[in-house]
Amino acid sequence: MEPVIGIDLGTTNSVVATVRGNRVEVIPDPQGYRLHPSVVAFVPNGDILVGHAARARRHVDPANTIYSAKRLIGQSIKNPIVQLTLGTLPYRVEEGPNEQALVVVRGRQYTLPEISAYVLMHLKQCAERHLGSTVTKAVITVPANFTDAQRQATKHAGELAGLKVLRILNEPTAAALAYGFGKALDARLAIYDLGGGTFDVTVLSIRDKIFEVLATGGDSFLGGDDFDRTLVERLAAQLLEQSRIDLRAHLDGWAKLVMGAEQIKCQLSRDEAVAGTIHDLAQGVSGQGVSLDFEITRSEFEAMIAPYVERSLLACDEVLIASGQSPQALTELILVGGSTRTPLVRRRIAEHFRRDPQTRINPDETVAYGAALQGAALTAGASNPAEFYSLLLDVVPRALGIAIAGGYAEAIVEKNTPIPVERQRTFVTSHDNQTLVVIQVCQGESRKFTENAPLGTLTLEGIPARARGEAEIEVVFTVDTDGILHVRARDVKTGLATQARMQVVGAPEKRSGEVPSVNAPAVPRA
Amino acid sequence: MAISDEAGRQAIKVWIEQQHAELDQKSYYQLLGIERGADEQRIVSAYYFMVARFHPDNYVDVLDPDTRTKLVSLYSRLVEGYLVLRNATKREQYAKLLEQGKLRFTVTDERAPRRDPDADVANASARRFFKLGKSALAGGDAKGALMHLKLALSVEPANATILAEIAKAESLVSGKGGK
Repeated sequence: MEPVIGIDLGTTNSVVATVRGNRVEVIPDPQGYRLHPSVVAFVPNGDILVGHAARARRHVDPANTIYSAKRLIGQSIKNPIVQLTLGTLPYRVEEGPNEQALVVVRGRQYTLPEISAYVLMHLKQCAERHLGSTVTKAVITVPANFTDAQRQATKHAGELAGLKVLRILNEPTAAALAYGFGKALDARLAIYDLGGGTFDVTVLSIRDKIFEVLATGGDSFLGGDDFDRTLVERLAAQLLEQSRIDLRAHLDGWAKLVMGAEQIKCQLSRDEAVAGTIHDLAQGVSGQGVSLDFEITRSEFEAMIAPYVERSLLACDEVLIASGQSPQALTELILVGGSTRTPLVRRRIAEHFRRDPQTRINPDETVAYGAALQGAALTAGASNPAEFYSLLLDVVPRALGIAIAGGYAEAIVEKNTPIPVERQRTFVTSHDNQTLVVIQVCQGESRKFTENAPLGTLTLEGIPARARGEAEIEVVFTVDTDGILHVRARDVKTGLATQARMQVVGAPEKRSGEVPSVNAPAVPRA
Repeated sequence: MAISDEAGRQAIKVWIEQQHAELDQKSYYQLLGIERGADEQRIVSAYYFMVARFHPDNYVDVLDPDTRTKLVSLYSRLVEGYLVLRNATKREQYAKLLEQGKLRFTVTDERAPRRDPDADVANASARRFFKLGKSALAGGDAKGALMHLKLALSVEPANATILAEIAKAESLVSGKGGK
């Protein structure tokens, strides 16, 4: 039986799992780690390292060590929040064609799907080594609030890594599957998923083998990285006061501070206060290393991150309303993502949902676990035993709309519509002999077109020349089970297909079948 | 689930094509295989039963692209029917449409008679706070409502709809305070 791997491609760390011998196994790397840093390091000798070996280079060679690629993938570089993110990254990013971000390392440009492909290749190789067989099929998870473009780019990364992507699966849905699989439940769950860079909340209903998402929502720019950043800023301000050194001008020192902040954050989840010294952040006037002595209490930290936590609770309210469930009607509250270890998050969410969260679940591994189960479900009866069958009914995370007169957007597919879904719209020409219709497509719920995220441009070509209003083109918008939009069109009068081309903003131009040109060993040689 | 033999694949293809051909002649009730008077529980269980038969994931690697497209159309229509019948207001409207001989609930049917009461709040985040405020108000939490509504107003200052709602919330808050 050919294995299918489930991959949780995280902002900070990735996890890979598979179903083997009737159970789910989380796959370690050759050193035995089960959590693989989503970091790609380009070392001077031309080697490309991924995972722990790459992570170790973050403070040695920050300009050539790429992390947090998930924060940029499938997004327009013009997006103001992307611009804000870029300011915090120590590596170079340039604007490429079609508003996509390109990472520049050692004089060569890489697309974001290429960077993620290196991480995926590493995971694939870990799996192949662990299982002793070739792996070509995968289920890859993404945040539920990922846009169409982000999903397409992630799928593209999988293909570049030599994987057939059976499904792009929403992370909270994967967690629900991991929780409910094989239990013959009749339950309603809320999944609160706070990762490094994104936040999702999903309410779903489980009935035996059918997992039905009732509503989903979240914030694509909220996560543990924000907690780190507030800490970094506080430490940097303190250093400026103590030593008159502005670390924003010192790339290496800043990278060290970021890593230090991460550690402080994790320690504050266990201890009430943390004190210590971060050494050699920069060079002083006489060449001596500059250190920073710090002391920070948990309550101080909590005051700093409270606004972020409250923002997540607001999204929870919205999703609960949309799902038609009250907190009391829920059977279980499940926490996913490393950032849910933060005591303030646990406390506030328990108060908000008026119940204690389920804690038996490993917040780091549960998403990959669910992805492996979904891989097995999609191949149940073929490469996996029939008892692994389960059915996920997921939804569209954000409304899909088109631009209409007056600068408004008209929804084609509403938020929280079950997928796959298909919707028709008929377009009529507005000029005599018009042969081309261009339609702007967006994602988001705002009535004003520009307040939504631009998705791209749909072009209908080769329309037969007729008097205005005479040419009618019916467009079918389909959102598939990966949450990805497809478009087809036909001439209503002749019934013939009309050419419909969708160019997505922030996506690399279609270069089918191309693999990352550097076929370097992605697994560090042990 | 995978269907390995060719005869099985062919049978599924024929079945899907037949269902697809009849799609526009069926009401949502007929699609879900239920009576007009079916209660909510019956609708939900019929939906689950149909979903388990029609969901494209049950036919991975079995269908040619054309048949798959037809299956997605079929599935999508089932969901459409379910979403209408599950919603009491829409179900009532649908009953009227059926009397007029219409089998589908279209966007215009939905938009024309039932104007979105929150449509006066154009900005997405203002509307979001506005809705939260209204639901808090409905739940009797006037103070919470006031907070959300004021946030909405901060995004869309001088919006009459929001101001009216704030007035309601304020009268509740002061009414309680007065006792």
